[in-house]
Amino acid sequence: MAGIELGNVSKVYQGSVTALKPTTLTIPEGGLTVLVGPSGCGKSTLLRIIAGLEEPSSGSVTIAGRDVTKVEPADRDIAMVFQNYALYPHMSVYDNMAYGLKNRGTSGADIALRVNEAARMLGIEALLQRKPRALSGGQRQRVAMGRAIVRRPKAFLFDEPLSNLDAKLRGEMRVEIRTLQQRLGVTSVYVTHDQLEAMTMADHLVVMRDGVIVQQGPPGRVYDEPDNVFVAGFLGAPPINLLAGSVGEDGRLHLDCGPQVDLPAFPKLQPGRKVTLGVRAEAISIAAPAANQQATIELIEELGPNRLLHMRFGTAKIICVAPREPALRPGETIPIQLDTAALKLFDPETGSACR
Amino acid sequence: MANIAAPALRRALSNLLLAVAAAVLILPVWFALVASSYNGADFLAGHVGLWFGKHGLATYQAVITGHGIVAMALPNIGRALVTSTIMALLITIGKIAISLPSAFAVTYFRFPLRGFWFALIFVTLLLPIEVRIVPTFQVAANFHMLNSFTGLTLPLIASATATFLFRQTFLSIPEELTEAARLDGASPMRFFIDIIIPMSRTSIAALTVILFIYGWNQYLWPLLVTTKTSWSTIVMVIGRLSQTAAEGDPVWNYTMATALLALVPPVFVVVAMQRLFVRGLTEMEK
Repeated sequence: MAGIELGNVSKVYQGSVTALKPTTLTIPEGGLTVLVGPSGCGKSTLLRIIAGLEEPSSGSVTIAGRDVTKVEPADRDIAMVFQNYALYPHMSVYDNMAYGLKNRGTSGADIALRVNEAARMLGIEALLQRKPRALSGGQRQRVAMGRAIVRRPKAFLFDEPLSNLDAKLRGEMRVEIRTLQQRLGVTSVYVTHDQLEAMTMADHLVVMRDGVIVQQGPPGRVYDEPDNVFVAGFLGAPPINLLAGSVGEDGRLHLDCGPQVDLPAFPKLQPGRKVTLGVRAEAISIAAPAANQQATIELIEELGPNRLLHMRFGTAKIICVAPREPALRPGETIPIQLDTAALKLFDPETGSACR
Repeated sequence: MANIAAPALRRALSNLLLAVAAAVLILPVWFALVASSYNGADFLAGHVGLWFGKHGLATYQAVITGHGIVAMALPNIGRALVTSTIMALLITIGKIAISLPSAFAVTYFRFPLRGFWFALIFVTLLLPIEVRIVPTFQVAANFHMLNSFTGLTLPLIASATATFLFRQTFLSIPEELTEAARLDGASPMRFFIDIIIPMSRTSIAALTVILFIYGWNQYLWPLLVTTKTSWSTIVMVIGRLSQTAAEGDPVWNYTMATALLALVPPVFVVVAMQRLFVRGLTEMEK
């Protein structure tokens, strides 16, 4: 294996604050692995342990087959892109990118070659003599990436690199980082709290919470088959609709908010069992008038290609994605249909998925 | 009409206020300048007004060449200026050279009793030269440092203030930069020289100005540690001149002229460092 291997890595800070519980993780070679989770979930700690900026309380780190647990960050053959870019403000763009190479004793000609190559790749050749303060956020971001690229490392580490950019630029840079990463084929670990970034960029998605990996896999599969209610709620915008209820004698789900739902995908549920129903916004559609579910529109958000309907479903509120036609107005009660194949059930006690 | 006039009026008023404040600040300097242009007799007779007298040139000639005041066994003023400049520069450079690495150590390195050592440096704030003057003089004398630049400057060089200020500057440097430098393979000394010092240059400039003036204005310590008039600093010369009142005719015109000449080097330093100095005090570079 030539990716990154974490064996039972944990981090406990003095005062016994556990940032990361013993975690074993294999980061596949050449792919982009995204660590995602709410703040304080341990994703940054994990990344910093890989970088060597944080010493693990236990466990081992292996990068490209070499145990680097006790190796200095500079000698781990990795490069990191920081959230605030961490460019040296008094150095020109060129010097910023060259600094790591200079410290390693790379020859001047080789440095020039590599810096110019990276600059060309990132489209920042014209900026090489500028100081960071004369650059825009997106340009700084590119320089920070250039600094990582020139090192030709075994792995790239990204620590929330886009969180300081505005939404439009973030979208662009997302694509750019992804493209670049695929082109270079370097093992990459990307930390973010933004589920959209995580979904769109990951080859391998790792969802974390409270210092534990709660689920990992290809982003599409994690989205479609969340192992628990936390993952279901964390991924997806608008968020998944969660409705409490219990299974009736008839095998249908009696929601606490009133309506009843058929559960053909879950034939073996015990009557009387309490469950939480998860319905993605796109699993709810406007149905023919004869449909047996009804909801009352409270608010309509136009998104352009489609719109979000905020509706009252029984006594609960749900959100659904609907096409722009037909014309609807708030206050209207419409027939709706839940895509029974896409329904998820979770245990309300443990949060884990019922399958 | 009133609405249009109001801003103009307000501006006129604030300008007036600034002009008055500036005048108040400049008045002593102006008075010194005027006083130095009369001869001693006019001065004593109370003929000095707010405008120049006729002996300005003569006064400065006398002060600079030493003619006419040599009788008082005064050191050459040029020489005193040079002594003062070298002393102030040595104190400034010495203080900065010592406090930069010590601030670097207490900020970036985890070593046993770090808090204690920092506190120990800080406690020296309670021990300015005036408090420890007798034992310090004893030490200086034992080490044969009287009448030398070492004696003039060394006891004044250790600086808790500068260490503390640099520590504050270093703390304002984002941690990410430290980490980036670690990943870039910079050794601690490389990091110190390549990153920390250039990023602290506004603070260094501000401290240079403050410390130069501190060194320049030293009076009590140079008075003790120099026993030969040839080692007099300019501040000592001014002191000596103003003491003439007790010995005979006070030479206020010479005193004023010397005081004004003594202003030149510090003013030069302030003006040269002004831009960085102001930035160093008002903003910390990110």
